[in-house]
Amino acid sequence: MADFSDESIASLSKKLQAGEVSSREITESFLKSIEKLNPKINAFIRVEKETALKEADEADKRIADGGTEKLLGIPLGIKDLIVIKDGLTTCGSKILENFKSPYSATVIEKLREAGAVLLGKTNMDEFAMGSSNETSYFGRCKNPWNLDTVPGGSSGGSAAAVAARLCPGTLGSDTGGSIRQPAAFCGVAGLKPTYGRVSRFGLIAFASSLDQIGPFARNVEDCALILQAIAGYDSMDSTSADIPVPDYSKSLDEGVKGTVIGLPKEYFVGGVDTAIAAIVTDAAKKLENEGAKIEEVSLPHTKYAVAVYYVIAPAEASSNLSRYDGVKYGFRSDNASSLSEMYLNTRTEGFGAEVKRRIMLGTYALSSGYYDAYYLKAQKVRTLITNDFKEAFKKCDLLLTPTTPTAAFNIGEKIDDPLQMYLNDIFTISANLSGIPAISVQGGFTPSGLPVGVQLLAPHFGEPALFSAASAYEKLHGAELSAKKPAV
Amino acid sequence: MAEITEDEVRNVAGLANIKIPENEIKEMAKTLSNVLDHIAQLQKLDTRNVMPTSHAIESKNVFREDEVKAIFEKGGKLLDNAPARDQNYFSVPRVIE
Repeated sequence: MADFSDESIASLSKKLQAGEVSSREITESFLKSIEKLNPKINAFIRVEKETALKEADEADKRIADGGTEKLLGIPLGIKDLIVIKDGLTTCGSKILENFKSPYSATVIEKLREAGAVLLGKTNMDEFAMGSSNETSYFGRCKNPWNLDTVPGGSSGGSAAAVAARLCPGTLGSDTGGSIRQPAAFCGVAGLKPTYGRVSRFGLIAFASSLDQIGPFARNVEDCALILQAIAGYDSMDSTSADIPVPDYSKSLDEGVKGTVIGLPKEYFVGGVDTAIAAIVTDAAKKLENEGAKIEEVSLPHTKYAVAVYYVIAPAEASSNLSRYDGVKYGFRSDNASSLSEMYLNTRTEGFGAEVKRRIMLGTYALSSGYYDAYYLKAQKVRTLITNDFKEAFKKCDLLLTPTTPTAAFNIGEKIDDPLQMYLNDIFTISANLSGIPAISVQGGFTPSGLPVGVQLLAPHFGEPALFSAASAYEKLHGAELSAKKPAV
Repeated sequence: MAEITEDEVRNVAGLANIKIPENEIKEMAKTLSNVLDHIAQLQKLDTRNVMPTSHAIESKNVFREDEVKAIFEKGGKLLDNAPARDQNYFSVPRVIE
């Protein structure tokens, strides 16, 4: 059987359109890779083999009938907090272990229209709360580059699946870095679109003012292809933006000539791994050689981002997660003789430790007497962080930073120290607080062989500029970097 | 040091409908205090003239017609997820004795 694991979405699409291969052959090949490698890394928590093969056959029919959609016949994985009608969606939690959605998310409807083949659901931190994929009720996911390290989180399964070549692309969600951080740890590309660019209808809510669905793939072009299919206004999500979706493929070859790229000095201070700082500095040089202008800029409120996030996100989560009470769906505790006991025991037995911690934190921040000091204060500092970006984007078109201060850490290293875990998201959180788009692309490796991510940020709806610069940077690496793959 | 007391942990757990076992209260108080200690640095910033942001993208109220659409069949899929049901109703432990 032919092996397609090293092929990009773009190249698979060309072969499908030319009739050189069928979607069934491709899908079978990836299902085989999953069968072989998934037991080692646990990137998929559920594989829907039968429906995937059925969808592949339908895609082959559509191709025979002249269908030309870029994702037609392409197998993808979906983070297990995006609902697919009649299938299980668990959010990595015991409390939803038996939940079958009666409807599909808008992004799923759009992927189906585009003809993608959905292979199954990918692993994640419970309710997307975590930076290591260690809090999943269905077991941790491992980093394919080094099985002793975490893949990052919360979309760890989506990143690891792409890195291990279990599928060419996946969907994840990003609330404080949950796409970009695992993309960096696993050496793949991951995009958090502008808030409102992609409909959140059918995305199980964590922190509604921060959550955004986005793609993972092994290169920038493939990320653009997936975003093209899922972006756009949706009347079912009143926060989705009624702004036309540009043709992202056009921006891939635009280059960076004349683009002003800012290096925020606050992103290069103590705590950043020297190998990572060197790779980002080198990225700036490379882009400068291609005609970009590099400017040092300042985002003075960067150091407050984690503090703001850990008020706002848990506050929104404590409200969003109040719906899990064992009445209409999901897990219900058997151990209850009254309604109030049923609520209490269902939530106590159904949620894991980190989810409880965040519900507690959010409930405290919103509780009577503390609202002004925590929630309102955090919302005001959120404005200051957003103003920093507005000022910076007066001087430059894009910002270039490390995605994370360190490469993938070891399993167990931070799980007992929540604050240390939270601080790992220092460079990704601000984009969510400000709603701006950001992409992480592979920049190289640390001396110990772990992938390093380089992050680019743009003003609202600046995805085309992100794709231009990220794609230019990727081309400068040459084939050498993208050909490197994990030993798993 | 921002401190959350053990009594506050019990109170917040009650508000959140979560049971924290007595032998874990101390640890929870310590963990939350550590995080609140980090959050306390926000108090250093002067925000008297700053407007709060609840939403990152400027948004206006969104109106639409209030139309009934047959998305779910009556008594169908929605109830299939019920942990306990009685015909077309969700069933819960008795509320009134």
